[in-house]
Amino acid sequence: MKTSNNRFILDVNIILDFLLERGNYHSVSKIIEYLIKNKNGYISSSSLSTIYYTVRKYKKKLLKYLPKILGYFQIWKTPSYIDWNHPLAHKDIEDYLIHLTAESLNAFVITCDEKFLKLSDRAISPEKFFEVVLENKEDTIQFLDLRKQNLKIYNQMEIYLDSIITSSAFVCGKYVKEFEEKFAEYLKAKFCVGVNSGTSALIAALMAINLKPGDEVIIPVNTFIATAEAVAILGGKPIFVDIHPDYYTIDTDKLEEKITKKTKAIIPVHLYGQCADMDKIMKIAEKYNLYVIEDACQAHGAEYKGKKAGTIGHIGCFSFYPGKNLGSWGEAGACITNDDILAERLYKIRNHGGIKKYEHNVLGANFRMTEFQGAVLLKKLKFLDSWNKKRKKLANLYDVYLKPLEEKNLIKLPKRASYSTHVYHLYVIQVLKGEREEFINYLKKNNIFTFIHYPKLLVDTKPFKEKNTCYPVAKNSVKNIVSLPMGPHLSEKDIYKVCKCIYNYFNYDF
Amino acid sequence: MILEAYVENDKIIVPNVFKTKRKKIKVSIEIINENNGKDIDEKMLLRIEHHKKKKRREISLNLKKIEEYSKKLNLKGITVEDLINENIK
Repeated sequence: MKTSNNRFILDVNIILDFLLERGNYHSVSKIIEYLIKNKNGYISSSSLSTIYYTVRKYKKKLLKYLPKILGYFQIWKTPSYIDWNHPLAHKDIEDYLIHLTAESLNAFVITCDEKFLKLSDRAISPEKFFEVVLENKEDTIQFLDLRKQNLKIYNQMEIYLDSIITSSAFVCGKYVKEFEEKFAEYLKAKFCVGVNSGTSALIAALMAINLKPGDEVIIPVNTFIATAEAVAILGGKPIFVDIHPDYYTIDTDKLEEKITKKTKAIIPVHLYGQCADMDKIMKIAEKYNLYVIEDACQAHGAEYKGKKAGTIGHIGCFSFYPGKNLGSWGEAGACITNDDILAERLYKIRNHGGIKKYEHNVLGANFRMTEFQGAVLLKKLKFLDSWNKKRKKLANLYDVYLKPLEEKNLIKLPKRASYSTHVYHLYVIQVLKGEREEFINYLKKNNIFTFIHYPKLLVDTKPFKEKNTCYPVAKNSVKNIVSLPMGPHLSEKDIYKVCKCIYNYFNYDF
Repeated sequence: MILEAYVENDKIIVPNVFKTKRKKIKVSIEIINENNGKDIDEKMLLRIEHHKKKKRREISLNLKKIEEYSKKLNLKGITVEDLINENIK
């Protein structure tokens, strides 16, 4: 028997037993209850006609409720890659199609059909279903679980994916264009230029401001390496600044002292989902005639004094890496600007230096976004606010539950800046007592997975190694920070479990 | 040559429009609109029959075991009415 990720497809007669209240109705009603509560029940699209016909014949009054009832499950597409040599294909093509659907979903099929059970390694009996569920009930809390989110929207994506394949327009087509328009509208910005990653967005932005070798760009010392890489790859020199002790974003009080005649730009990073103090940064930039490129790769939907992250500086850069609050199904990014001239340069830079094919007016590269990513992002954008809302709700729960431990100086919770909203791409605490590794391992032993963002300061990485560094705040926090599980895949119950485990670690009652 | 025939009391009637006196003639019939829209119902019946047969060869369930597992998972069962009325706790 194959393994599955606790996803279950219902065989036709199982659904009919339930709908018509016949046969194994009482057992099936419990299976259905479990699947609906755990949102992991699926129906193969190949079963729909039989369900419909049978209900029409035997329980016609139920017909008008059928879409609503079936809406509690997810209809999953039936694949077209038929293996006519499969034994089930010979015996019963309808069962084989359900089996094939289960293969594509890595799911089990719950059935009472003797032949189905014999000929398909995906088929399980109702008893086996309960055994599988009880075996897998280990309460693992993943740091990130993209499967739930992606499976949920997959059938809405199918129409886009089909259209891309049938039209075979794969790069910067109608979906990329529509996403660019919709994302710009969402951010209340004039232009959105879709590119193929967050790193590409930063490189393209630095090319658009005409960064030359030797130019200096100021960035915070604790962030993902891409920010520094983008500068260095163009021959620029990243100049690092310490971080704010509470917000982990660039310390604006220490920024001005790093400005030299060579400084070309500042890249504030809205780390973990909260904005850097943009008013102060813009004021300094204006004073020294510098560009500001916002790295909003972790702050989709965050607001600074009512303005969306990424729209305040000269250019805002976004990453749509799969794990981001707005994530693609691969790699994608975007540059945001309200400046017509910068926008025109960005459009050219992302497409080998020209808007039209074989017109190369400036030095560019291939930074184009693919249609698949445009389509995924277009669909997911509609959910961004509700997903962010869920993240905020979970973060508030962490705050409430963990506050007493902070009061005992055991941990430090993330702090909110008055000038910014927080979209909690990450919920980062500091472990102040005991060894951080011990804390992480204790949680891991209890099936709770955490991460560190980031384990090294940029000046401690090989490409950007600095001797005699002086970043006391970042140096101190980098030893203590731990990112707790965060994301719309989690429930309030999950947060409770994480907090209970943390209390246990510190030997306190929750 | 196409002649229009019709069905009457289970007999196919071909009008003798040529008023032919010959006793033996050869006629070929092409059936149009065979079931007068009933073909969907026939398909439906075939499918239902197929599933009825399959239902007969189903394994029997160990109800005691299922009851035991359901208790462990705190499952009481849900009804069609519950789903219609969105009564899910």
